[in-house]
This record gives sequence, C-alpha cells and structure tokens, in this order.
Amino acid sequence: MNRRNMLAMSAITVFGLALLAEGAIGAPKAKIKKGQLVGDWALAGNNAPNAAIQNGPDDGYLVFERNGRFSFALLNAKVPKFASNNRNTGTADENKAAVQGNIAYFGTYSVNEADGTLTFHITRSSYPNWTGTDQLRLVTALTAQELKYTNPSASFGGTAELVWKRVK
Amino acid sequence: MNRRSILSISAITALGLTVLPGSAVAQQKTLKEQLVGTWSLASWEQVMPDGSKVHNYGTNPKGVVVFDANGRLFVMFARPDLPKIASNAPRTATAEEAKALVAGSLAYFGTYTVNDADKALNFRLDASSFPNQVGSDQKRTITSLTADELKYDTIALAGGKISVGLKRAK
Repeated sequence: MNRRNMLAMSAITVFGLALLAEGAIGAPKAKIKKGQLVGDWALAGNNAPNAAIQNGPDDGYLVFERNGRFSFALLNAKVPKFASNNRNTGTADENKAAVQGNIAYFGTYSVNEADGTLTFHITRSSYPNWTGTDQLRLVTALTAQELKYTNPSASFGGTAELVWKRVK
Repeated sequence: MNRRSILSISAITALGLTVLPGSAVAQQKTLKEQLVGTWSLASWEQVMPDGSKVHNYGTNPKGVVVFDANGRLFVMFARPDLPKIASNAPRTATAEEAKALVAGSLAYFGTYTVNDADKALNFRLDASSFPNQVGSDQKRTITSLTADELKYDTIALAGGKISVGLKRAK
C-alpha cells in the first residue's frame, strides 16, 4: 500500500467513525466553551427512553469547578428507606433498589470546544466499574441557564439525555 | 541620613503597615469563608459506644466535599476497594455486590450553614444515596480548621461518634 492509499484509508476511517458517532447521538452537537460549564447545575430532566429500568434517578447535582474538578450525583428520591435505619444492614431488596437508583462520581473534566464533547475523567465512582475510566458526553445544548448532554452508554442501560438547569 | 534613605525607610514603613492589616483581615474570615472550596477525604473513623473503632470506608478512604460560596453542599465518600459489578450493569448487581456498594459508598447533596459562635456545621440533605437521610438535617462540630485541613465530628445515628478529616484539594 502506498502512502497516498494509506492516507485515503485513514481519512475514510476517521470520516466513518465521525459518521458513526453522529448517527449514535442523533442530535446536533453544540459548540461549547469550558468556562460556560463552570458552576452548579441541578437536574431538570432525565430522558432515557431505551433504558433497561423504569423510574430512573430523578434528582441530580453537578458541579464544574474552574480548576478542572467536577462532582456528580444522580439520585432517586423513590428508593425506599431502610427498615433497620442502617446502611450496613439493608435487606437484599433495599440494597438492590439503592444500587439501581443512585450513581455518584467525581474527578476532573475536559471539553473539546470544537466538537462539543465533554469527558469526565472519573477518580472515584459509586459504580466502581467506572472508577479510573473516561466517560464521554455529547453536549447538545449549552446556554447560560441550561446544559443538555447525551450519554451514549448509560450505566442504567441504553442512552440517556440529561438536562440541567443552572443553580444560582 | 540623606533624603533618599528617609524615602526608603518611609516606603518600607508604609509597606510594613499595609502588610500587617492584611494578615489581620485574613484571620477575621468567617468560618464559612474558610470552608468554601473543595476538600478531599483524608480520614473517616467511627468510635462506637464501647470504644471499638470502625472504618466504614476502609483505612484509606476516598471522597470529596464541596462547599460552594452560594451555600450548596456536595459530598461523596467511598471505600477504595468497592467491588466491581461482574455483570457490568448496576441493575443486575448481585446481592453481595449491592450490599458492599451500599455499605461502602455514600453520596448526598443539599445546603449547609455554619455557626461561628459554636463552630456548628449543619448539612441539610436534599438528596442522599442512603434514603433514610433524605430531607434530614445533619449536625457536625468543627474540631479543627486551617487553610489546608478541616476536621469535624458528628454523632452517629447508629451510636458512637464519627470523626471526618479533610484536606483542601488544590
């Protein structure tokens, strides 16, 4: 294979991957500036039409700090209280509901301002399979008051679109 | 003493005087002003009524506490050795995995207030991964606060006293 062919193949591959990503999202990406994210955001919507569980998390908080740190929690107010009032002695059903309904993580974040992608570099997660991983989010809207992004592989299954409102 | 020396001494004196009030003001910061920012969990220990010690998040706990200037609070604590979910999906965690994750991690957010007179810190939990805490007020007492370190105690629901140590995250 000569050099020109290799270049052509590479170009096609890159183009193909870009198409794939575009197709997976099914929504236009937003142009974003990292500074626009800085601050506190409260969950306003969690749209996961193809998620594997019903009644997903309905309460969330997300903090982006200027120094590049972030903290994230998506919690479910409908998780039943533990009869024993003790996290160490939950029943199997209580523990299962809590694990299914809640996820939290923190770490650092980076953005690709040109293509509207946001990456969470997760230092620690309550879902330990994500600890030490990079999680890509596709920002579809970002204004002074609202942030919307798609998670192409949600921990709860399928894709999820999260809508956040800026907290004053 | 020539004129230049007098000027130098005046300049030094003026500089010295501006430095002094500066540090005095720094010391007069309210507790809230000193708390604001992000802190990393350094230690977590519960001393039970019988004197035994429990480390719910292990001896090398991981976590973050964010005190925002606007009064908002975010907390997450976790053991460093939480077991991965073998099925790669929280919805299909086994009973043992779920038990370990619930006992070994905690996340909540809400608001906080601090009382300078008695160093009391109050966390109001709007949401928590432990449902029994949702909507509750959790009292802590600050036992140490410097630029880089924060320690507070709390009376545990299940009895005994919990001491939390935090380091300021840079």
